[in-house]
Amino acid sequence: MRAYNLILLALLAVVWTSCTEEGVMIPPFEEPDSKRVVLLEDLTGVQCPNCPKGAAAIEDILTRLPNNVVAVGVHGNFLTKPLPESKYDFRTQKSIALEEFLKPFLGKPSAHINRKYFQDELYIAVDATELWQSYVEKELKAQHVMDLAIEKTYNAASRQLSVTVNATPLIDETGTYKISVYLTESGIVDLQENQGTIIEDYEHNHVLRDMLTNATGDDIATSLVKNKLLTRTYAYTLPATFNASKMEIVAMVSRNTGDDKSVLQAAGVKVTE
Amino acid sequence: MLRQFVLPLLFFIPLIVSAQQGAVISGALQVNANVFLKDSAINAYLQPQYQHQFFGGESWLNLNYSYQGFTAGLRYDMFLNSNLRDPNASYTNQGVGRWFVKKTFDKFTAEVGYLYDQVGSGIIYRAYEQRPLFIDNALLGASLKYQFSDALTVRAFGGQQKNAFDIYTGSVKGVVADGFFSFGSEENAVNLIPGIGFIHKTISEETMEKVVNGVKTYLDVDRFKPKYNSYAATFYNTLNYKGFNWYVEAALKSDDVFFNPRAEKQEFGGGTTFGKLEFKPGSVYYTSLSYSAGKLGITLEAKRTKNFNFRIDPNLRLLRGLISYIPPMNRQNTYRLTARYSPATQDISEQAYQADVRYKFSDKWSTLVNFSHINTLEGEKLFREFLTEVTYKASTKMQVTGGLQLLNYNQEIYEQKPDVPIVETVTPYVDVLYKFTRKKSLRTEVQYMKTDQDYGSWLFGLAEFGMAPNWIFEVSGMYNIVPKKILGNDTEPKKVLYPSLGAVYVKGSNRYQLRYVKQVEGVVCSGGICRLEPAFSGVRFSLNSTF
Repeated sequence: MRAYNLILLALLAVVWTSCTEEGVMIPPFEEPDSKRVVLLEDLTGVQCPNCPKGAAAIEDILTRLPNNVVAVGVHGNFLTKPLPESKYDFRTQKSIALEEFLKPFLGKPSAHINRKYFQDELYIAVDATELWQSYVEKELKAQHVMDLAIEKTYNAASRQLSVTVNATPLIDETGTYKISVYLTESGIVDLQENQGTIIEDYEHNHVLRDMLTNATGDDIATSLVKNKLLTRTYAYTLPATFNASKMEIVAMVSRNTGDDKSVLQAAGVKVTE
Repeated sequence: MLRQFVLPLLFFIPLIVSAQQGAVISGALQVNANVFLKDSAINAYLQPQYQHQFFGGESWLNLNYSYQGFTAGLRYDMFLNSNLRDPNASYTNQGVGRWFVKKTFDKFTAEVGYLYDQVGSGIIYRAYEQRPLFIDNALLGASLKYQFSDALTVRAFGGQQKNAFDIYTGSVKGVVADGFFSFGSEENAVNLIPGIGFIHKTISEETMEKVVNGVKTYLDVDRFKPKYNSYAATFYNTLNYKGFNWYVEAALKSDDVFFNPRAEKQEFGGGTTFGKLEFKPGSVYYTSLSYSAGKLGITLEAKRTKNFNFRIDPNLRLLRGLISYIPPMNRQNTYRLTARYSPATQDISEQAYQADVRYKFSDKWSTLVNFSHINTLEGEKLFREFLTEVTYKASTKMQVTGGLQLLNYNQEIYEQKPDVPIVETVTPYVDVLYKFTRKKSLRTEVQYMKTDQDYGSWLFGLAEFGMAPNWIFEVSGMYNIVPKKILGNDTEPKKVLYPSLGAVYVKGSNRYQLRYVKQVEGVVCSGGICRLEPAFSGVRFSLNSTF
């Protein structure tokens, strides 16, 4: 029993030591000083019970970092079939193809943050929503390598939209590069699963409605030359079912070299503002 | 690279070079090979193996070497387009999955490498391998054990948890003392087998950074001050007296960061969502009382679990990074339909009971009755099972087993399926074994599951012809006789047959199995650890060999 007593004594010593550890202070949020704009592609769906949590996390991030993040809600094939009483079907050929491209993911919601792989994650798609902001902040601390500007004209009568994306590299780099241009719509009120209940008047935001490029992007360059402008222009007619006043044009340029699909810079502008 | 290949070789080379008479080399090989045949009618088409890879598999080769108190082992793992890690994705990698060196010096044993171990029933610590679920949370580190006497053994260990071919950044240390005390005469002995265990977990700087960055986004009401260190302690004891066996374990965990998927979180923009990191203590109380005497066997079990999600990194989900293993509290069924809905252990909130009674009326008749009852601590119904089974040995040639299972299963919680009702099933089944000769036998099963939920009702039939000692041929079919689910591109539920056809060849210690399989989506469980796996369509080959 002497050995038992010694062990108990040792355990008590460790427990006592544990009581002396001070908890880590959580610092207040500070907006980073960065020219980068991060793309957050949210893999979501109307039948996904945890996706409202993901959407709330995105709104938090956008509120805190209004100038540094753009979001796209991708309703692909998984958990996206409309509910029996749904008014809308958010699935499109482009959204399904994009979700396929962004696989694998462990479940929904998951988010690609600048399509970067973060250490210890199973996949590029991050399923822990509480980590999204920290990964966004991590990306904002990375080197700013490209300026990206969107010029648009929209004719409300004809619903014609013209989009020009100007990308200015700030570094020299070889590789292959793609451009993607998304059209998203916010403020769509429809059903949404939420942890076993259905929210009837749920506001779906940043819903990917269409893309002006291929789902996986269009080729834009085979190398980056510092300050050498890259430009692409697209024309599109908004379908009558889209609410132009709630729409946003999101553009991004990404690497396309081997497994590296990381986003260099993103940008977003409203269609009607 | 150094850790993966060079270190194991450094350990092995001197052992092999110095191999002398008396040395024993043993090993095992397991190979799984799957050919994926797309079948959209059963939803077996979305995974990359169906889309463009067509083949996937995995293998494990173990080699163990023993010589003069030394034991060394090496395992080479290979995954090619494997769906084990994530049933919905493809995983390809290979390398040394495990190595270890162990030496016993009289009463002292030292071991280094990837270590498997368990404290008590595993509640505060279990490092183990479960291949069908891609669980391999061995500890890369060292273990020391000293036997003070026949009544007391103490061991201490420490290291980092394995993550496939990598390791997680946090560390785990533990001390365990196991005792054995016997009182009374040999015939009326009362045996006490107590133990105490203590686990100390330290999360890494990287993990803490992620926790801090996550909590930083919370409103004040949900914030907490996380700590690097957390502790778990357990006391357990088995008491034996004649036919009685009573196991009791109480495990406590200090304040620890974990993810609670059902906790309400206040959002920055207003409103609430579910799921957040929390910093709370946890506990598990578990007891099992069994009595066995002659024709009667009774087992009663109870368990209460609160906030015991104990992982090396609180940001990990599902089966990743688990330090604790909480025993299941339901019958481990083996028939296809009675095993279809099996509850995964809930580590945040669970209160469970189980009773199992067996009685042998005579040489010909025997019976068993089993009852499981699982709720959350808040009283939400999770699982109920009532199963009764009767076995009749008609003669030396024929045995009949028949039973009935009544089951309730909270599919919304166990499978994270939104807005689905509790699955209620009634499943009668019969199993007939007939031996034509000493070597040739035929076993048939018929099972019927009646349910209005999930996929609807099922009929299952199986015929298995055995030619001992080498061959077993099997044909079976699972038929969705009253379908409720719309699959693939269908517009209404359709009756679908999931056939299987296979052969097993056993030669010595080698077992080869080839099967054509169509398998419905379902939960795959092993000891209360479960995951949802998609439907499968294709050909499966497996080889198990020991040498």
